[in-house]
Amino acid sequence: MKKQYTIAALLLALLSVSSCVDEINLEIVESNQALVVDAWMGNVPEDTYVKIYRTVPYMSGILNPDYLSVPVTRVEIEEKDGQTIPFSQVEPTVFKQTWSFQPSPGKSYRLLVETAEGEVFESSWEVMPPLVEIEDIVAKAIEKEVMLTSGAEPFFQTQTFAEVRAKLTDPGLGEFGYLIRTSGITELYTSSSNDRCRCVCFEDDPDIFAGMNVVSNKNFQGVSFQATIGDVSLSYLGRYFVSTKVKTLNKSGLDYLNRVNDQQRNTGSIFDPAPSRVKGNIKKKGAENETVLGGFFLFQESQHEQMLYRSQIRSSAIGLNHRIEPLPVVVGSCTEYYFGATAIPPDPFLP
Amino acid sequence: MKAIFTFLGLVLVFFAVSAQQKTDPNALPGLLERYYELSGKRLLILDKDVAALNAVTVGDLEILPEALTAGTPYSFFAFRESYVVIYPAYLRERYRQTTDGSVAADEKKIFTIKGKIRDNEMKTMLPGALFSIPQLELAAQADVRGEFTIDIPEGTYIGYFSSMGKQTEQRILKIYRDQDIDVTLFESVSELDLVTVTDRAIDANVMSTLPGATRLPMEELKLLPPLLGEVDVVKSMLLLPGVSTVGEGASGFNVRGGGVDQNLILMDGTPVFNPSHMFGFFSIFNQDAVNDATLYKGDIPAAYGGRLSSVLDIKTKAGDTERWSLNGGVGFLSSRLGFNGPLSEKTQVMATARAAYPTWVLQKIPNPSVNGSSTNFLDGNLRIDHTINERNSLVLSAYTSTDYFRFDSDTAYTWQTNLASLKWKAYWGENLGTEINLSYSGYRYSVLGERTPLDFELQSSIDYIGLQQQFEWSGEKLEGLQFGYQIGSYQMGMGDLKANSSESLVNPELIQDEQGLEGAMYFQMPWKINDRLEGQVGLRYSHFAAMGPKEVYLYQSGVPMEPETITDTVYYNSGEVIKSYGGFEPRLTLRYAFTEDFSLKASVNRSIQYLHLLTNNFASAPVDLWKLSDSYVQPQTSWQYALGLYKNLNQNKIETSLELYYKDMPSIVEYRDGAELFLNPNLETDLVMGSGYAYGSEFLVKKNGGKVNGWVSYTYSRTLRKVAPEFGEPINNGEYFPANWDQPHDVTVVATWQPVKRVSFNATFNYRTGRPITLPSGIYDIGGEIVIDYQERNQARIPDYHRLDLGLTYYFYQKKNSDFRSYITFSVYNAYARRNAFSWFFQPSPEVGIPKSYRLAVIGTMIPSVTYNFSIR
Repeated sequence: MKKQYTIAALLLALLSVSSCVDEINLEIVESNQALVVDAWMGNVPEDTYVKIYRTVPYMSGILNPDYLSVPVTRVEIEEKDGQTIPFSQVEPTVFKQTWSFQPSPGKSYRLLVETAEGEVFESSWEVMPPLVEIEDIVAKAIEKEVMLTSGAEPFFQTQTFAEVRAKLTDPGLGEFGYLIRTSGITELYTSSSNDRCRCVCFEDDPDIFAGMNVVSNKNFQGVSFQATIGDVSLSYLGRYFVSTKVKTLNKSGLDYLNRVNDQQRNTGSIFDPAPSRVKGNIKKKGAENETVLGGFFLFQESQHEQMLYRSQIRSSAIGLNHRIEPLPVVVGSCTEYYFGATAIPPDPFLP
Repeated sequence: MKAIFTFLGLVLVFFAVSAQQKTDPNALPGLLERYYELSGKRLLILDKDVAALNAVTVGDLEILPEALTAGTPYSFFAFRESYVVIYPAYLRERYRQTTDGSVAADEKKIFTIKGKIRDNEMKTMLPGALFSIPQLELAAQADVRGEFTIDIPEGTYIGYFSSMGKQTEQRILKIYRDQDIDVTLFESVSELDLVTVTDRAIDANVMSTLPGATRLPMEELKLLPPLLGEVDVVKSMLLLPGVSTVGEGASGFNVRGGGVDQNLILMDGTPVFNPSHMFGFFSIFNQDAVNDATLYKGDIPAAYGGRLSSVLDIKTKAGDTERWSLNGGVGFLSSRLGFNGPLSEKTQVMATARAAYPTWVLQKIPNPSVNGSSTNFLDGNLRIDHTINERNSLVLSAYTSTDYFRFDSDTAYTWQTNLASLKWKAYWGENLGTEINLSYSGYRYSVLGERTPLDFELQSSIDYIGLQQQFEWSGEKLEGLQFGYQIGSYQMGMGDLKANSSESLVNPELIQDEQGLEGAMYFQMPWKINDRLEGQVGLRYSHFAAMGPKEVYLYQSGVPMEPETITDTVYYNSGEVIKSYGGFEPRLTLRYAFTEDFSLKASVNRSIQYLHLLTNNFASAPVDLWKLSDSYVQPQTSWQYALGLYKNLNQNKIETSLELYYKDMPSIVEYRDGAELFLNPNLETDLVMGSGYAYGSEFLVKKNGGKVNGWVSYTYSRTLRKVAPEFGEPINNGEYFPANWDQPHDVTVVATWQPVKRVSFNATFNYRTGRPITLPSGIYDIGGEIVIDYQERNQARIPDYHRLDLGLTYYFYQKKNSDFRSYITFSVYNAYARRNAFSWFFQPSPEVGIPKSYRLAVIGTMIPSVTYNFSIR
């Protein structure tokens, strides 16, 4: 009987694992070099900019950052009461606001761009969303299976992670979205017989959330809620510093980024929409059906930073199957093992 | 009396004869087959008579009937150059003796005998069955409805009722008035009878007046390789020319350039909204419950309507009238069990149940994305036939199923189908028959989000109640006239989002339901101009009304419909008509028979469809949304013109056909790029009306009978669409673009080889052009996120698809008169393990975030399966 089960399992395993995804090498020669306007305006001047360029051809696995610039004579953001904020070119494709300006939540703005060829592009009127402060960052231990590789054979192991969440209170001012980006610095320990070893390293983690983290407030309007902002491995001993930025976006910005998010998570299955061009809120004046990519996004950003103590998180969930990575042995510095890390403690880790 | 009606095995056999001195019953089949190949005549000999006939050799082939009977107490007669019946000569001689000196034969009164020949096992009529009276050397062949009419002089005769694969029934017929005879033939236990089974007129493809109609009885379907151990009606239909699918895992099928929603699928007259279990790997039609399946893809009879492309009409089996039987099959992933038999003299029951249980195996697979998954389905059929009296009968048919699919831990999908129908069949007077069918079809589907605190359930549903009454006139004038009416009510749940637990933060959301009434009147009648030129003419008038209660948004005129351009809202009360549509749907077919084996057929028909399946995915999924026509979404319409040449060769053993069609679709429903189809209160803003056309040619060569049989088909087809709305953005710059299922070249080979009675091998091969896909054009970034810019819709294609399936069926030894029979099937799906692409997709790589290109193959390897099947009587 056991043998029959084994055969049956083998048969179904063949079916189940046969649903396969392979990377393919596609040569796509066609490219329409469409105009892109990537415009952001909000309460953070460094993140307020207008980029104008043309798309580069799609090449699988290759990113060509040399976007072709577009000669532009005018870039400005217009407030509905008539005030205009001019932008000036700072790089071939980048324009920044000429003078300091703080947009106000609830007010309407639109983008105007005029090219050297006299073509005028304008966005729809967009309303500045409200600012929402991050109240706290909390973490809870969870178990997850991860794929590891030993030699040529991948295998799966249950490990524990801290699921990190940001506490927010939605102001209840209608539907809008949150674009959350979370980076971190992890503290990594090594061991050595050398008393002068710099055995503690710090490594940047540019994004602890897999993919784009965009959340609608549809289900949280006017209430406090916790948005997941990423996972931190609990298999290490050191602390973890979390830095989170939350941008509120109005409905059109949310819809646009949701479509980008869908595009990035598309797996080609029957549950995924067939891909199509993501259209934004900018149109060419007099030729509304002409392709203009990108959009004009209004945001209000808040930031929160917090140190997480892995040992505390583990001890709050001792029933889980915690595994601790053995400390790597080094001679004089942790960077011998963690190549991309630094032994100089960043500010949050200074006493 | 009954003893007289002893069942005799009728031998229809095919193999080469050996040079033996005596006629060997085991060798005779080959000789008869050679005779059939040579002369085109089937030689019918009763099993018990074989030993008394002469020994024959290959050299006797040209005069086989004479050689077999010369000097023996047997004689023979030929019927229409198709059959030669060998019978005891004394029957004819006695008849002559009794008529000599008495009333001269030409002075005898002539009476008309109308007969029906039925199949006991399949509960269907037996087209092509032969009725013969050796005494008179008279015979008649049953038509496509299994009925025959013959004029016979008064007297007492022995009548033979014969059909391939069936025991010949003999009856004493006392002909002293016009009579109706109804005979049921039982399956033969003769070894040789099983070689070939046919249940239609052998020249039906040439002489029938319906182009593009294919009927597949379950016995024929069972000869095809099963997938995962199941004989599948829908998968089998995909082997026919003009029928295709966009890929493995997609629900439904496409016929002659139509979408999956353009096929009307009926089970005992009740519409089915999703024919698939487990994303098309199984169909909802249990092989033990199905009697036969008929696909109409060319001319659609006027009795059917509401879809543009085809009708797949599935009839379930009735319970046995004589004996109880138990049947089923056991496989690793699914099993089924059924029984049928008589509850009383007038009532029979048939019930089946089936379950698929792959989850236990999934959990043993060391892959977290697989062992966290689960899937299963259950379904059951019930049918009760009750004869009230000679003129009235009832059939109750019911079906229920439930599917569950969860991949990993996030999202689960469930769907349920419930079907029920009650049919009352009655004869009113001598010439008028009627069928009243009351049907219910319910389809419920849900998406379950299982991630807290946003766990939710999104439900949609369809509830359909329909009534159809059809009359059929069988009087001399206007014989074959069919007419009737149909009325149906739709209640559509368009989306109901609920929190799935008390802790869930999901806000409930309800999209208002849609209601509609659809009615139709129709007639159809055969049209015979002369023996060569025949046809059918029909007309259907259908009418649809979108009904309240509903809030309807009004939009600013002269601009695209968007939520921002809503100007007002109109509320319609329950029972109020929001919008109505209607139209005539003429149907005309003509067949001109140049000869008995060569004909030309032509058809034209118009169809209107008021119900639409909305999908913007790579392929249709079980949880896609159905929508009724309303103020903004007009009905889909089409005109189909078809022309076909049909030529049979080698005494109808080889059928060939070439069919051409052109389908004009002036009104179709498409979605805008980026459409949000779920929980969209302004759904009409994401839909757009367009037009399209499809054309193609279908070539088929089919060999019937013999050790090796099967068919080869080639289809060339195109289906293109155009969406250029007056306001708003066009698709593909307003130019025609290929539909998702546009696959120009399709080649199918189906072969069955049965070298001996107990073993059959089968194979199918399918090649088709890769389906259209939208490719990236360029990339750019927005706020640091890489975005792909796509080309216009469906301007490229994924690689071509091809696949070989192999099967072996072994019938276990069965004693004559045994009540137990069983067989085992071994099959291999995708025998050379090709990784056929279902889609290409483009996703940022997890390592560097730069988009890469990937191929998804749903089934990328060979899948073997084994199923043990049995029946106990």
